[in-house]
Amino acid sequence: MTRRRFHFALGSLLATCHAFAGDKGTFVVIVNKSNQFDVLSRARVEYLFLRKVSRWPWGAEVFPIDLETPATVCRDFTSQVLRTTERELANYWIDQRMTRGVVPPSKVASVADVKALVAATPGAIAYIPAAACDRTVKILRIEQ
Amino acid sequence: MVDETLTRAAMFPAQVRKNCRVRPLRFAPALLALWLAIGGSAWAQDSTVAGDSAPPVAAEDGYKFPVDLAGYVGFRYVTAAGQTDGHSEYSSSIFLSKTLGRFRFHSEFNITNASRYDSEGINLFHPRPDLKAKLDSATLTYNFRDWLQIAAGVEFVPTYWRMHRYQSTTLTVADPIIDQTVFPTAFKGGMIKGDRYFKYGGFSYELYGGESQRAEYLPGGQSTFVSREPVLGAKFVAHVPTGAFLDSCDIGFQRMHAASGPGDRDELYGFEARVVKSRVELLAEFAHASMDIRNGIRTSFRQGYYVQGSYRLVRNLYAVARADRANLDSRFEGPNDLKTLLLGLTFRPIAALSLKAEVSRDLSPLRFQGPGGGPLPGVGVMASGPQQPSTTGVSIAIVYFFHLP
Repeated sequence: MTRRRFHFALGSLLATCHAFAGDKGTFVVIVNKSNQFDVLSRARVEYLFLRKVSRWPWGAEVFPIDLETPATVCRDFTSQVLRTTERELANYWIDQRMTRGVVPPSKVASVADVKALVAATPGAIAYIPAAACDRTVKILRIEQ
Repeated sequence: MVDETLTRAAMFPAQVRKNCRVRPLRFAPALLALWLAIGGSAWAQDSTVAGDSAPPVAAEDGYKFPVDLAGYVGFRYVTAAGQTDGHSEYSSSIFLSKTLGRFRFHSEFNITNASRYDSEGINLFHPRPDLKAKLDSATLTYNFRDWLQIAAGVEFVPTYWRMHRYQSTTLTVADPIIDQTVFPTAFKGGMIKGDRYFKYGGFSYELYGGESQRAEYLPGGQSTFVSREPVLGAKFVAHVPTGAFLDSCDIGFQRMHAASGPGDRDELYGFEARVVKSRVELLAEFAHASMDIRNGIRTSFRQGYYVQGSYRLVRNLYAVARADRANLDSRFEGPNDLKTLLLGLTFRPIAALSLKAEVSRDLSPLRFQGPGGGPLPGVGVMASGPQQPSTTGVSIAIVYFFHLP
């Protein structure tokens, strides 16, 4: 019974991951499990990652996390969610540092570290390869 | 499940710090002393436990520089259209920023060798003709909500170009003529501001007041002084939702009142627009100032606009064109009716390095002789002078942006 329940949960989880992945199914956006949102518009996710919005509605500080590798996931996220290029994004952060003193999201090297950080931080939001998602974090569905 | 999360939370610092891109700094002690000198408390955030605030991300050895430090070093040679001689300018700025909870401190220190073309900021020591070090801005902001923030300090007047004028991000070497000439450059005072974003679009606003700072050039173009006057201003920017049609569409309006003297006032207003679609960006500003209004009658007015279009030719190369027009003193309509056209290229081999070259053509019907030999970019000129033939100017710039990890 327990094993059946586990398989059901795993199956649901994997189905969820693929259902909410990007257009090419390469990444999912994840948040801490305490996050009250299940769904966010693409534009709102963009505002969070560009630090145009600094706090969640319940007061937790937004803590966006940038994944360094694999680079393809980073590129897909930048183009599909942020709708820009990595080069334009770098220019944006230079401008933000100088005009507002706002720094870009922390870069974390590995997927496991990203998940650990999201699991430990109430306001965290990140993206990881769709195949890497697990029950330690919550998947945020993105509406176009 | 909760236990598992907590276990991972306990484990995360060792795991994450190992792979974070923060490295120890050799020159940290000197910079730390600088930060302490401006009154920062370096360690409060590092002791923050992951709760409602963001967790500290530190190097494996546990050291993280306590402020965000960035800056640029740049060189530009400007022969603006209408100038007989160009001038070289070496300039560097350091940006110090720190966020502690809902407080954010942001400041800019600047040093330049072209002090006669530079009017902004608070001098750190008595300026020399070839050297000026100053505090350009220093602001402490408290964030109640994103839509309600209170700031105080020395700030730039929030016209688009003034806020985003840095050579690392602009596509042109020369500033538009209306920059600093119609609206004041900066002010000391307070500001209430905020941003509100919706599912589609949003808006930003700024309400500010204080003592403004503006450079003026006397007739003859030789002497310069900085005028200061109480100002009250407001700015509203609509982030227009355009769906998938445009990448960005921001339309702004700004209004300012300044007490220019006993019984006199200046009234200023301006518009700005920035539209981005794929490789194309369009930027435009208009500014108008009715000067010395007494009993409802103004003595003179200043106004001008620029329209700048740019196109990303290839991955790192941008082409830019800008048309400038300004009348900086309606009492001298002819000599102060300025028109320039600018064409340039910007090459960014990496995001931090910007190489720029441009050609500008003076199209003014009657051109004045301003300080330094012509109508300088970004300098207020109220002078009439000898008529000269139109000329073409060439400007180049090399700027490198850096930041500590």
